[in-house]
Amino acid sequence: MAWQGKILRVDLTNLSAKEEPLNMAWAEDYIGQRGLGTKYLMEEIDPKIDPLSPDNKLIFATGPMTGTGASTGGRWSVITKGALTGAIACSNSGGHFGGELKTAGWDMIIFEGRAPKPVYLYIQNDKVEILDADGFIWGHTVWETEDMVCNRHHDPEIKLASIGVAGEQGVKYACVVNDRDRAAGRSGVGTVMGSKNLKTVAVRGTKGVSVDDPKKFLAVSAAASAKLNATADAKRRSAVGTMAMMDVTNSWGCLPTRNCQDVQFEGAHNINVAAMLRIRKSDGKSNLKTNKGCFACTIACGRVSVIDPTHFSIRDKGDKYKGAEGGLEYEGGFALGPFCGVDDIEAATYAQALCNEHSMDPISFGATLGAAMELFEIGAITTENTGGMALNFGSAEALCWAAEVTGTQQGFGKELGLGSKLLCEKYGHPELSMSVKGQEFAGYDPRAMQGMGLLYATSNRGACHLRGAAWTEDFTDVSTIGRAPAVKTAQDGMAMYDSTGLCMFARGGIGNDGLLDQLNAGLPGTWDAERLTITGERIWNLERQFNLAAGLTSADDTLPKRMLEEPAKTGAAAGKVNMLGDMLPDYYELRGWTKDGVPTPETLSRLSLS
Amino acid sequence: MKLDISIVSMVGGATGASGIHDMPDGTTANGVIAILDLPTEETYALMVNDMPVAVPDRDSYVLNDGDKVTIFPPIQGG
Ligand code: SF4
Repeated sequence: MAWQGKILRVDLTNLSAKEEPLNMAWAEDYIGQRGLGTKYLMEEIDPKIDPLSPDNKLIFATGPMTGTGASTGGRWSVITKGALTGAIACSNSGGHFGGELKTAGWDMIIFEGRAPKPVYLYIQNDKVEILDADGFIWGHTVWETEDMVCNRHHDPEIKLASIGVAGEQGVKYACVVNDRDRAAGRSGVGTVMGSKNLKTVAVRGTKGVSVDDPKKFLAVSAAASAKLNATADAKRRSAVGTMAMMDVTNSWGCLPTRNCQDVQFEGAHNINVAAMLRIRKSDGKSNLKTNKGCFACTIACGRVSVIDPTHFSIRDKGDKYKGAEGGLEYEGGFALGPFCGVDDIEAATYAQALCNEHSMDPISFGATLGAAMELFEIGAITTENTGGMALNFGSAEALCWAAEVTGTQQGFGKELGLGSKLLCEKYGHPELSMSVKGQEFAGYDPRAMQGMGLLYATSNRGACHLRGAAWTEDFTDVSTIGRAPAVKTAQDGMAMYDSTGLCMFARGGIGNDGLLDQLNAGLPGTWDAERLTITGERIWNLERQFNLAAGLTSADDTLPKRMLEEPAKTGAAAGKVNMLGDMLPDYYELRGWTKDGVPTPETLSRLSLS
Repeated sequence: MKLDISIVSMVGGATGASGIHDMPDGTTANGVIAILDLPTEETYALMVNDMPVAVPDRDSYVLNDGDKVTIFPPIQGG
């Protein structure tokens, strides 16, 4: 029935693990993955705890469709209290790890406590072992860890979700990386994993996943894939990937450039899709080699790149970075490129590779470096602080150096590992951190995308474009008209979709009908559109309750001063700021929250939340 | 009249349509999308001389000789 009906509870403090039944009543109310993981977290921890204390829990959760063969059904999430934000964190990843975990017989893993020494978890179907990582993989990169664990256990098919040194050593925006280059990227979920002395989760599953009505399921999932493949959006994603966005944001004037001092980047043509495809003089090849997909995905939007072997960043490093690895996605691309004023695509690809191997969120890393560059240019950070490196905007050398020292936590890399909020506070300019709730912006400047500003401000995990953007409205005009209802609807929709196990990139193509067909063939019981909508809203409000209980208030639903007071210099919104104050009261009202952003008793009762 | 048209971020196979186009006087913003025969399942973002033109205004928005028109489908990052 799509679920295995089992969760694995791992007590790291006592190095023991036990099986528990999945709470099916909660699965009915919260679907799975993001919603269900959040429900478990909310029930099991006090939201006020220090995210890096043993009291925090770390949940690896699949959705009901994960591993079933549903169209794009390979997604899984990490849910915890975020190290970067102190708010609810849920980071979603693709690749093959989630499907493997489900196939091994587990819907979810809950990690509690802190291991007395570095360990890793090795799962072969029902067999679960907590093994010593010290003197073995601790201190190694994600990529080395994957190779070493597969070698030790003589199984190249093991799938791993790991942290690198950045996660071990407390970089605030460390992520969890699986399958070499897919990541549960945001909010410092890898930092929490590191605080638990947990290096990797290695899984091998051969059990398979059953569904409620296999014949029907096969038919509806094939139909969903066919429908998806026929859309222009899927074709575009497959051909050009997410990096296609850079030309869009640069044309519109919402490409965050030089720590959001600018909204258009003069060097975008050197770091966009066309640049990825351009034939290099040095080796006659292009940066982009091919594309690849996650489990059960027919879009295959992932980029695979080869860095120019003559580029200064890698030419003296032997063969290490000369093979094909995960290439630039838009969110990493904007942060490692325009946000730092860098237009060297090979340098950005190298920095992206380092983010993957050391387990750093490339958005937060790039955006923190961008903030450091502005601090450097105004003299708040000097070469004395950095140990000699000049952190000027546009310096590809500084970008590559910063990725190296942050990933390995050397020297000034420790400062960059703080994230932009703490870094800017430390150097006396908190206003220069382009973050909300401690999490750095994604690749959209909210002055030219009013709805994005409202989304950043109200996103439960801090600034994020994936929590429900008003894409159509924001790329129609630069007004605030209709943004509050559009953002609310999108937020609820994303909360629902992130709980299913499917990829959000397929949402438009498959549509609600395709999703419902697959859920209803896979699971017992009946899902309909209304139930999906209310469940999404329930999940959003549950996350809000977590944050309120953690001590966050409506004062945290805001944007950096630069967005509210410094007009965009160029582009569609030239002369304009984000008008958050015009949208927020409408948004609270639509949500059924008080003017202080607290869900009213009526709202909670309507959503069956207490 | 001549219009300088940029089709950004691959709209179907239409990227090749970027360039200077001769179009009848009185062509509207929506008229450009129709003349270029862009796939109709998309909602396009459209700018004239770097300023957005909202969807409801596109039927009445008449273009002038030399206008720069930028068209792209809104897609999500990731
Ligand atoms: S669309 Fe892209 S991110 Fe989503 S499942 Fe497919 S390859 Fe993975």
